[in-house]
Amino acid sequence: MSKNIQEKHHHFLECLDSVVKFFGRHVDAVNDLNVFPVPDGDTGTNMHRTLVGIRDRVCSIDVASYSDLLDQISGAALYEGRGNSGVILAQIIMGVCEGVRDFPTLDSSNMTYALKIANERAQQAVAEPVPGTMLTVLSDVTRTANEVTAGVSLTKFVEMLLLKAVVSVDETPCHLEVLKSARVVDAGGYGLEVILRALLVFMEDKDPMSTNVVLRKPEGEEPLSRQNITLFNEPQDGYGYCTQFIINDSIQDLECLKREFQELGDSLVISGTKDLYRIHLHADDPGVPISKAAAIGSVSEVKVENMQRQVDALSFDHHTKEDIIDVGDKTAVIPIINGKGIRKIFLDWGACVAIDGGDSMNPSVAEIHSVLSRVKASSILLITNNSAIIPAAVEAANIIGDDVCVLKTKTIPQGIECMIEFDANIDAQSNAEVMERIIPLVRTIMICPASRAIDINGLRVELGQPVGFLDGEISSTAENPVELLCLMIEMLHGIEMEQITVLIGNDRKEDVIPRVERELKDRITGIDHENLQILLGDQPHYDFIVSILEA
Amino acid sequence: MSIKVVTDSTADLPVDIVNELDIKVVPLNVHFGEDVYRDGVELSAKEFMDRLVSGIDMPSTSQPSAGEFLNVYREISLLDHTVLSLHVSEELSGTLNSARQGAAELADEDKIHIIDSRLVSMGLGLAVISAARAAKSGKSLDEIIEIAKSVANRCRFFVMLDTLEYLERGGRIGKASALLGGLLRIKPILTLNNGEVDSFGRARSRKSGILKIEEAVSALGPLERVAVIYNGAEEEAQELADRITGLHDLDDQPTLSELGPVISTHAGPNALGVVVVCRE
Repeated sequence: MSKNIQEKHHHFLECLDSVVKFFGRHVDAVNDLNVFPVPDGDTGTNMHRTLVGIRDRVCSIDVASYSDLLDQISGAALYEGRGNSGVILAQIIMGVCEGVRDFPTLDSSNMTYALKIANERAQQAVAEPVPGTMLTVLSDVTRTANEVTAGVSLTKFVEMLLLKAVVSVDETPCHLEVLKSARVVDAGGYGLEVILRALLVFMEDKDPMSTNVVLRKPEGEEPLSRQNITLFNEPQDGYGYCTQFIINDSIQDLECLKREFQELGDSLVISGTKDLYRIHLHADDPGVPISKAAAIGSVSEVKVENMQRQVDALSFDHHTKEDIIDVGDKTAVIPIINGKGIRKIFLDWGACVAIDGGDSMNPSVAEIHSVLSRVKASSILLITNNSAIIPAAVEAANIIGDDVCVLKTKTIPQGIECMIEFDANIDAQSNAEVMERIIPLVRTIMICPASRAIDINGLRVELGQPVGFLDGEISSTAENPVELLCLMIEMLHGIEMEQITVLIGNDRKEDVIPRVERELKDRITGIDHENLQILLGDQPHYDFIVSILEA
Repeated sequence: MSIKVVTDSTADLPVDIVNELDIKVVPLNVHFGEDVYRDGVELSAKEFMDRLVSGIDMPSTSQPSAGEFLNVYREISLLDHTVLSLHVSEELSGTLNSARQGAAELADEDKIHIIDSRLVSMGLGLAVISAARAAKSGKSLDEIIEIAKSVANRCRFFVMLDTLEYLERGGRIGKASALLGGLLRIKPILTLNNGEVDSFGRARSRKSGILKIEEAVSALGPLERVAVIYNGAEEEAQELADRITGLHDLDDQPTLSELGPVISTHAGPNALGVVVVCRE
């Protein structure tokens, strides 16, 4: 490896690392710009994990030449995209790599060219680009780049792009009604703005961890005060225990707390004030920080989770990561789902393995690909069950080739009703054709506690109040989830319901089944033991996920 | 001397056809606890269903005894007739075995010709009807056997059940066990394969199940004969028969056949199916 290339590699890693760190401080803010108050606000998480994934891959490679470096970055981006925004971000990075290939030194004019390619790639990655999203911000920024006079310094160039991005993000609610009514700007667009700002921070040689940040918040909510939330260090190797607790009446201030806990683990986050500090860190031994906290103040709400087990649960079913799953010369079906009960439903009907994923946990291209590549079958049908997972699933399927067919179901109920039709003896494409006829017959109701207060389309929902969605659109609220469930099914009285399947989640146990069943049968005429089935889905976040199959 | 066709009560043949074609039906037995009934003779389909749904005790079935076959065969051979005895698949019932044992006890055993149809219900029934018609029209024994085997070979069988519970309890589930064990409610659709019950598919609801059966029937090409079998609503069966008639140029009107107590013991309530004979 020539010295020059080594430097370039190193420089790129420094830059990416700085962007990762800076972006990391915005993750929650980006997540919070979620249109609906549901726990799928994961745009920030997806973009951040995409960036982290790329950095970690590029970190451990040897590069032989400039074009090799670009290929490796591009390859890393391809595999690490997760969620809609993450996949678009990956496409942007791949486009930039393609655009700068012929230019050994970067300046504003070749970066303009690279942005143009990146913009084209990103627009193509989305089936139906919607104005007022991340793609609009990207287009605006690309246009501005074109207008910049040649010879401007790269730092100045990025600064101009950033200014445009800020304005463009501000304007997203003008393009997209749903943003306006939710009183938020587009989260992905904001993510792009943060990345441009991160680049500027790097170019100006500022510390990404201590430089001031401005966090955008949904309109009407208090902006997060910069002092209140602090991520002090980056996660390191090893998982250990995710340890969270509250210290009341602390005898120490923020700086002291930081010094006390920094040594005890990583991913340290401290929020709050002297009256009440909320502390989060990953520690090998959770006992140590908790004891220390008890010496500082009164400790409450202690929560310890084994992160290795979380990671294990994220991986694959009962198969270990290395296992080859051989279904012989038959068709394999692989759903992307979460929830133990839901997994069982899919495995019952012939799924050979399931990939964990859903709201707030979108798998990356690499994660999907690694499962696909372990399955030996005549063809593979991948069932997405979540619209945010579709882009990464499509990318992963493309890498494997023609033998993988993606059935783009947007909800778990769509996936379940399609799964009933699965026939391992016909190929994935033919299965998909049969199943696609089912999708329009499925109505999906999802009910969860609102993750924030919202006033949208005349519907006022308080934080924690149950909020219901019909086919992805916010629909109603009620006093309690069961009441809301009845109400939403009643609202569908116009359609002939062939089968109603209620999946119970959010840590609710079997004992709620009789109550739900009684309420539904008592309140809604035409519901009986023939067409109603209530099962434990064990899905996170959602009290109820309901599949209604139209006759 | 003429040829007489014998079958068993699992053929689910409607009484008027049995009478018209002079078919001899040997009944199997249905047991409710201590009580034993001769299928279709001492217990009608309706009486049986009422008792099944009441759920007080669960029925089971048994094959006719060798003695019953011996009696039937003896009676016929005394009139100097030859017997063509067509029966339910040996994989599903010991009836054929009883028939063979009965025939073995008879002095002129060579007059008794026993055939395993590899079918059940109206699958067997349609083969029996063709054989009986051929016999009536004076065809030779070899010709009749040829016709019966040909019809049985061209027979396709689809039935949707409400549940696999009864089939499983009676030990007749065969390869359809693949449809068992799911949490999610489905309607199993079964077929016959090599004389055994096999899974054809699954449907989410009765309506989509019926549609699947209709699609499967349409995909078979030209049909000669159709029977609709049911033990639930006759109206639903009649509508299904009418729809199939509308799509095919059949030799006869479809036969509507209510499942007898023995078959219903294994199928459970609300079964609905279509049996067809494809054209040669």
